[in-house]
Amino acid sequence: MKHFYTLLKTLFAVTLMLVLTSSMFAQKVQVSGKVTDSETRETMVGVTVLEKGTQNGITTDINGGFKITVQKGAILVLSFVGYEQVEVPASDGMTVAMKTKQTMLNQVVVVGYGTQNKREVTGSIYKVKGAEITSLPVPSFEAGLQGRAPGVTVMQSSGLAGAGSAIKIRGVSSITSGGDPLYVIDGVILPQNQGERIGAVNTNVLNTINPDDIESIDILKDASATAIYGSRGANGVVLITTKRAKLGQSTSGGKKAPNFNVGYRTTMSTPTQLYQLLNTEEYVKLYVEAYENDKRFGVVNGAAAQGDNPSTPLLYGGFKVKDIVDGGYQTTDWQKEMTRVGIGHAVDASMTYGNDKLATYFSLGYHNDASYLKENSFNLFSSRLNLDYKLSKSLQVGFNTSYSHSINNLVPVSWNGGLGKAMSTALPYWPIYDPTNPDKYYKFPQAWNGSYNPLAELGNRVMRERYDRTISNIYLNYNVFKNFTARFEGGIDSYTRTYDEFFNNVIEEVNTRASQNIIKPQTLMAKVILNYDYDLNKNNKFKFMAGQELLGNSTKYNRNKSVTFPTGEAGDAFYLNPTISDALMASQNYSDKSEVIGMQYGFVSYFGRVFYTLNNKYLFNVSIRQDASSRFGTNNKWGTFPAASVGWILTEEDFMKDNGIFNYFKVKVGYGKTGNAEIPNDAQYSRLITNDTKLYGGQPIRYITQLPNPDLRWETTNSFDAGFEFGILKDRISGSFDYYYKKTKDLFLNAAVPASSGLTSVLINVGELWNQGVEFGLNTTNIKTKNFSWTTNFNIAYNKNEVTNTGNAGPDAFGSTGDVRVLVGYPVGVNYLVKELGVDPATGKPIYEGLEKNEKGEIIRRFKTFTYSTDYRQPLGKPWPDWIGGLSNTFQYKRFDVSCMFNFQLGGSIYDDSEKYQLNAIGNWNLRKDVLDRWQQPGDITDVPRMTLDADVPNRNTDRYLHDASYLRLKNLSVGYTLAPNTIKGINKIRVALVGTNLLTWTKYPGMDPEIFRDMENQMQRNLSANVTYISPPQARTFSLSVNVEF
Amino acid sequence: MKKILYSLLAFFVLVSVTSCNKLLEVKPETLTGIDEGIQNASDLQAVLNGSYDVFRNTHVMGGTAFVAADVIAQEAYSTSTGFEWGQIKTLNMNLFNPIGRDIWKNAYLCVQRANVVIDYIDNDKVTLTAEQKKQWKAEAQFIRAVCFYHLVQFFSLPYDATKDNTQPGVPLRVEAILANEFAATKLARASVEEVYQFVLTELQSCEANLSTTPIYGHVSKDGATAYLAKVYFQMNKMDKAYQYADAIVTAGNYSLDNNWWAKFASASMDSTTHEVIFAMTSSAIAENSGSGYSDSYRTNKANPPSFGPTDILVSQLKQINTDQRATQVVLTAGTANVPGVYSSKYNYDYMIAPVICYNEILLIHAEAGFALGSGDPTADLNAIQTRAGVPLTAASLENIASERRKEFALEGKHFFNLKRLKSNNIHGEGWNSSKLLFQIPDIEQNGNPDIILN
Repeated sequence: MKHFYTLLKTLFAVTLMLVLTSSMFAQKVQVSGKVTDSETRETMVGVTVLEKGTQNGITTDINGGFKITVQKGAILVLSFVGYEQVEVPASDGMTVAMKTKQTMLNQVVVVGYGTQNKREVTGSIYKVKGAEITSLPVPSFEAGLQGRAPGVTVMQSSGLAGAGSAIKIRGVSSITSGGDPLYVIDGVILPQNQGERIGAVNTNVLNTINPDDIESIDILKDASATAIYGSRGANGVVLITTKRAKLGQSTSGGKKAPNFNVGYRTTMSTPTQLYQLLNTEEYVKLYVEAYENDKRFGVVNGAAAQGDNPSTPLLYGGFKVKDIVDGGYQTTDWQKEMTRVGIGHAVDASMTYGNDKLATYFSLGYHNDASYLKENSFNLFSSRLNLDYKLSKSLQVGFNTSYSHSINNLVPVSWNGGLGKAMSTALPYWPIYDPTNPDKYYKFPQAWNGSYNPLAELGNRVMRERYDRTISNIYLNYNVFKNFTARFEGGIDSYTRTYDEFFNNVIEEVNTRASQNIIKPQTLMAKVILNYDYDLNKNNKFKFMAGQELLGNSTKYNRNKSVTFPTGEAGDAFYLNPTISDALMASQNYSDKSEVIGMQYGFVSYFGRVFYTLNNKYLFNVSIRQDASSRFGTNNKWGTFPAASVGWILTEEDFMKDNGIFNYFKVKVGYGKTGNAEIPNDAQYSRLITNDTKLYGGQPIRYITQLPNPDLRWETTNSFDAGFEFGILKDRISGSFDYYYKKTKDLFLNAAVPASSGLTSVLINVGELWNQGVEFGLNTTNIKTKNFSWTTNFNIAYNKNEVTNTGNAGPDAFGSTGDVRVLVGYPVGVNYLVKELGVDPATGKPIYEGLEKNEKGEIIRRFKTFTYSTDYRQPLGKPWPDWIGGLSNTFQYKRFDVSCMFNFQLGGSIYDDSEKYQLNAIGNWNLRKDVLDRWQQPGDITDVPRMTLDADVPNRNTDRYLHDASYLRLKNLSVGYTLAPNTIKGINKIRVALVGTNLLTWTKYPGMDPEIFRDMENQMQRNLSANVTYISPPQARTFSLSVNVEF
Repeated sequence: MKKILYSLLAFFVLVSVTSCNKLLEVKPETLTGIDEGIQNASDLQAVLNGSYDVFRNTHVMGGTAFVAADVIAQEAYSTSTGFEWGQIKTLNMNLFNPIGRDIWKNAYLCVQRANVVIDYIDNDKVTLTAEQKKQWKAEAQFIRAVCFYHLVQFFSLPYDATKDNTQPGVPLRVEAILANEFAATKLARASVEEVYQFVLTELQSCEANLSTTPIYGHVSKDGATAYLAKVYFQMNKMDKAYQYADAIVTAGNYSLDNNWWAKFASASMDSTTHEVIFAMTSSAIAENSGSGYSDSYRTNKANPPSFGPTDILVSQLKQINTDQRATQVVLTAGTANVPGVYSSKYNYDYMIAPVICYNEILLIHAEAGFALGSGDPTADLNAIQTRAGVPLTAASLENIASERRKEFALEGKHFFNLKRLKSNNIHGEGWNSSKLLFQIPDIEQNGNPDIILN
């Protein structure tokens, strides 16, 4: 080996001598020139300019210029990190434009308040290109992130049109406060993604953003990336960049002409799965069996309540078994009646144009998403104009404006009726139409959320949400001097939400009524950002950023109108401008109240960042943010959120250079502090209530309900991240690995205080929890030939979460539906259930695990019992999956492309809150076919207890309804064909694609769709009830055909 | 160009300086803080009213707690299927029992509201006249003292259960809690002796300071005097009980109404009753002070009630068929489906909640007088008997006890009387059995894990 080096050295010396001597004889010319970036047109400093085949070289100066003496006719080789190497014949006065290298590692990623080259990023950031999402017919853009970014859990609520998702980045870091990431669109911070509660669903505040306008989404995951967002960075940050044209860009086939893009897509939507419910024959058989069981075992609440009528027990609704048998077991499939094949359409058109001074992106979109539920649709009209204008060499102005108008026609689901009713209390022997009057729908006999026949509700129970929204900003960029810019920005997110309800009297023969709520919230922002790039020399480069940001949220007003029309009179929803007589308006059946609400909350922030590169291989990133908010108490008005990270590009080191395998390898470590400021706006203040309606001695009473909390502050998360990124074989294989540990403290909780204080709890920053996990992402180009290519993207992430302090709260202090609780030593939202030990072969009754506890509450004995008691509850199950991930494969053959994506979840459990009604007592719920395996006679070994009419039995939350939530799903599959440019004159590109989503699923979950999320009313329920489902509508299986034309 | 930058920067600095404070001091307009809400005398009076409002809560003086006392003592039955009543019926009250929890929670809430009034007066936080200071502080002290007395009855072994009454009483919370950190203060249970002494001292101070003229719905001097008689009587301190009861009887401000039920029927006590020494006002359904009684027992509603007198109480009441109280208390009303015996004593949409009445003082006067050999116990007893329309008997401990039981049927007093008399059979338990107590509820234990349990 040693000899080899000696040989190399000798060869090198000889070559050098030869070159030097030869140059002495050759004719020399001096060439000067300039190097610019092909996109930004900015001059480039430090580019290596080398005379080809020689060691004669130089780097460009601070103005991007170079002067070099070369052989006449020489070729110059220009190279720069992250750019493609250029070879050009030397000529004096030349300008060379260099293109950025289009590899994974040379992407530009958007970081908070700026951009960075991915190669130099020391935080954990994942970029998703808009195109990856727009190709899918998702209800809203965030749903398209599922399975793409490692460590990003996307829980799509349902297959409803325009439905929202909850996104958890690296686990859940809060209990009572907002758990969704911060969304920032072109620098405008959006309010927390909770949506409005309508019936059993939360609507989505993000669906007003047209996915087609999105250029890219950058997901900031670790503290060194999100600390620049300070008190709002703890849940991660999702930065959305919309499309824009580039200055100086020549478009449309080399001509300076606008580039147009028009797309059309039609989508067919069906439910992934529905319940297998009993038909009339099975139902009646089990009903009679239950009746007889109750007689036999003397169940008091069962058959006895029906009176003694052994041969023909009366079924709900007054139907007689005999009549049903004689009628041939007519079955109504209510689920089928409520669903359809939804056909949706989407048209998007955009124009991009850029010349030297002006860059314009303009788009119009119209989406009409129709779900598989009858009458359910989401309509979006969107428009966007993004413009940049170069006023002078140093001054640039621009704006991003969007206006969208959406109408969400909601339908009742889950416990609220509609499909939920079809899945539960709509019994199979009930007819659709009234047997005595076929023009009318059969009126349901039960008083469960009203007794409406869900079919009668269609079109007569209106729930319509309309949004008119703009998310816009305006900026001025001033290049004060070389490498120093100041940017001023103003942003607005303003919308009007109009929600109409209308209830037509044809459903229930009660009065027709209508109501409308109009609310106008607005967020205004202003910020200034200063940027300075300073290269001390070739090896020491600095980037400084400092800024200030102000944000204020206010609600202009809140108006509520409602009317109950006189008996027998027809009416209309308010949005249809119903006629309301003066007499009605004056009566108490009409009300119109509006209130001015005013400012809600404000933030004032200062932030700064220094990025330093040493020798092009050691990277240092330090950031700090100071946040103050009206939400924080006076003693903790300001929070400081620092972060630091370092990176080391090993492949720049001599020992790794030219190693033949890794073309890139970077290790990085970061630590930082972030916060969660999604606490109530007024929690720091004391509250005194004056009750003017409840009097004492004819006088008003007044009392304290909340004590002042001047110490109130954000929830704090300290996190550590370590990982590496690599590229192998010129990035044929690239990937990343991260380990993180996040410790959250100061969780905003109702901490238990002794009730003898007159209070049972106070809201303070007391709780603690942690998340830790690993993430791995891999991109490979498996095959790349002239006609065929195959690329794979794989990601997998593991997260573990544990609550370590709840401020002494009892087990029932924090809970949500499905008996989920917050218990020390368990993950957030663990299921707190009684354990079921199977069915007793002798009696067919369920056996429970009884618990005997000592004074400290520790379990000292477990025993078998038939008695169900909430005292026997114990933490069971895993509310969060262990592993999540996705696998995408893309194949390209000539002009065809095929891509498919699988996503998966391993571990974790689902608590099916509706199953207890679907697998137990028969009566007012139809049951799942699984109950056909029920216990029937002594000796039967089964897991389904005997049938009973005792309606008390289902009201028991046990682990029988807790299931393994692991699944693997073929999330989407697309096949496309792209026509060659100019096949049709003047058309650059035509692409036709066929996309299917949610096509195949492998799971052990016996319920319906394993991808569930019971969208909850408030932030705590959203954090806690993530694994609970209750006859929620399943995801949609869609097939869509799209055509895109570019010209 | 630089000028533009500097003026823009200057503009931003200006905007941020002026708007920062505005952005950081956003306070919802609809929110009233403690400081804004308690500024003058009428504000503080509203806070005192807030204290009275909890004082009449169903679990304090409003009835439900006393219904529970009658169910424990088997004077009342319950057909409720709720687990709380299931536990009470079988004397298995645990830390989750909602009745015990609500007695604890509301009595202490009432104490806290009274403490706020006292804090504001003691620290001169609002401007008051000397008269207001004296009267309102004493009213707040009375409310607080009665709440502690109420708590110690339900959560502690009775007086005399140990030699020096060192058995755990209840925490004595006497500081107003106006900041979160004080709410978390963990107080141990004071001894029963300490609680009784505190109650007595407070009531004596009330007696000295309260107005002698009655104020509608507010406690006056006589209320404090009468309650002192009641507390001493419960402690079996007959001399003191007699002394205070005698003060009321001698003054002659009160008399028995012609009708035994008049005090319950009267929502406005001024016009129709002269028997009430202190009761919580009631002038409308929204201001109902006795809903705990009526919601449990009343028979003139669509559904039959879940509570009623037990057979043993009914037989007591029916011993003498002319007894007015039997016809009022006992009603054989059942429906075909659910036969049963119910009480119509509380058949009102809204009613006052008596805290202390003359008939109780008269019977204390009789029994204490009998024990001490003072006064004319037979005359006292006969006054009660005359009104009830039953034959007159001479005073004896037995006769007084029997009359007391009937006179206060379904008022929740029998349970505590049995304890005072050290009965060895209260629902099968001895008078000093802890099975007769509610457990310190979870809501106390959660924040005060070291508190001694029953």
